[in-house]
Amino acid sequence: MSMERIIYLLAVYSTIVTGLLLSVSVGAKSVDNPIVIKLDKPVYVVPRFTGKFRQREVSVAPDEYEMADRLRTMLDEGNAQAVLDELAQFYDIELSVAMIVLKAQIYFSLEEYSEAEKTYKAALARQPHLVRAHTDLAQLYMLTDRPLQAREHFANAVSFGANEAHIHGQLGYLNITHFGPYAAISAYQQAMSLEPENKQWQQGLLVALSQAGMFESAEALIVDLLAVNPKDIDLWLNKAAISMQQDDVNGALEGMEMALLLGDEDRDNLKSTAQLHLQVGSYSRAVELIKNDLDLHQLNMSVINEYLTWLQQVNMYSDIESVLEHIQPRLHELSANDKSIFYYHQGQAFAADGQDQAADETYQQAIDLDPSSGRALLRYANFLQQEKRYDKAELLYMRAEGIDVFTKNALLGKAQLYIEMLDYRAALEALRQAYARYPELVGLKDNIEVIESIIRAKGN
Amino acid sequence: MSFCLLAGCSNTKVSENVSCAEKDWGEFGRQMAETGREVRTIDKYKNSCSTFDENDLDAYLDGYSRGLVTFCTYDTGYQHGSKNMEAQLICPYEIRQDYVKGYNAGKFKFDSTISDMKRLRDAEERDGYVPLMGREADEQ
Repeated sequence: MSMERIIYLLAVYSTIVTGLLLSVSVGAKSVDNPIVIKLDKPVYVVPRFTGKFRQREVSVAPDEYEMADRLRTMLDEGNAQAVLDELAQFYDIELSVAMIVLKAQIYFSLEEYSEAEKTYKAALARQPHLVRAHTDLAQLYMLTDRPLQAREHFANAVSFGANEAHIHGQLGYLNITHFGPYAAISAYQQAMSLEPENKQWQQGLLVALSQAGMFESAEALIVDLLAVNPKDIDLWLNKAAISMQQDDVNGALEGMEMALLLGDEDRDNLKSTAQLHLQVGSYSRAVELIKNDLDLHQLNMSVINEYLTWLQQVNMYSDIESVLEHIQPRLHELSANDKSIFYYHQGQAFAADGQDQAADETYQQAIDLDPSSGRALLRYANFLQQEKRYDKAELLYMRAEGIDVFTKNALLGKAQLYIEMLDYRAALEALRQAYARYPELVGLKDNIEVIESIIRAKGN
Repeated sequence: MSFCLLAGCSNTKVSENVSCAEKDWGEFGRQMAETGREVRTIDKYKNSCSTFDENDLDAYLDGYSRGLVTFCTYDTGYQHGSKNMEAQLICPYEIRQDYVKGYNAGKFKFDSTISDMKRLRDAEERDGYVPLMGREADEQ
């Protein structure tokens, strides 16, 4: 093999190794960091049974009027248990369905759910189309976490004529959570037609339309709602989310920025807005948002790390320094490990700026604070290698080799180091170790052959 | 009565003297309802049978409910009314109406028949008709 080919292969190999080392970082656009817009999920707060005891669809038997008056008095006095005791004197078959429903409602209000369920079912056995019993039983099933049964009874209530917004809304919620968005759209629409200002129905319908891929309809709805409530933060966030689903980054940014302007302080949303700005190249705004986030919230190094890594991906080292300076006065709030991450980034910024002495000191601080930071060890080793301080670099690679997640990169880094030191036997040993441990690195085989050729040539 | 049940005597009346060993409380309940007995007929068995439990009561009530469906009809009500029997008010409110309608119709028919017979008798008395019993007495 000619020397030119050897040098060419080594150059290719170096590129592979460097790429592997850099792949330790995660960028703003990586699949591991999808942009997340935090929205309220459709929820339904099940009301406790607080309604007046009433039996709309059934009436008390004439021979029960006197008893009904007595029971009403007891209920007005708050003596529900006395009502139950009086009704317990009768078999259910002796009572009208109205009385049975009353009994069930009292059990429900006293949170005796098992008895309430049994009693509602007894009422429905005699009058299967009793809307009130279906809706109450459905509520009970919601409270006792039996959504499929709840859905069945809400559906029955609607098919038997119930037309209250909360019933349609609950049906929508259960449909979207258990049967997908299409089954929910109509229910939420019905609820909204009766209570157009109810945020639960608005949110539910938006989510249903979005999940069903009906983005134009969802957007039209948002425009409609924003015309009435232009200062509604949730609506702007929803607009952003819908835009994101259509890969409309500018539309998403518009929504997110409006939400921020109106006072949204959610950290995840701030982060996502910064991320979006980085994607479209508005770096100064991204940095401003990052600093806002840091000012508004407790320092969270994993979040800060993400921010700094994104900025590093786009080589915005001056902005990285700016953010680090912003954090510097609050360094005492961080743990030793978190400070290590801070210095790691600071070291990178210094190195990129050509401030080698400062970079050296800062990287050293990073590994002193967290000796097991494989990332810091590798980065520092790589820096020292470029400075041709091979002995220390070798030591750092060996330390990183002992940390599972970083072993591969450490072995490859060490091999590259030995090549630069012209210690081909050591390089070959490192490459063989790497290949034995990570056979998926198919390119290494060629490189091993190249090094073997070099050794053979030198031997001759 | 118990002897008749054992000996297979024919009897159109349903016996209430069911022994505690009788297991088919559901069937018993159905019979009670179909013959117009009150649901509380079971109370004496509840109190006197040591083996009677919650399941037996449920079976009885189920059977009783099924029997009510058969009993609480227009035809049954008509039959009772037309025979001038007392209305059996065991039907639950939501299915009572048919029985009551039938009963009222039957009762109306009975009352009409009685009124017709009375009117006929009054007319014959006015026309000098001597009741059969009196004439026979005279001839004798």
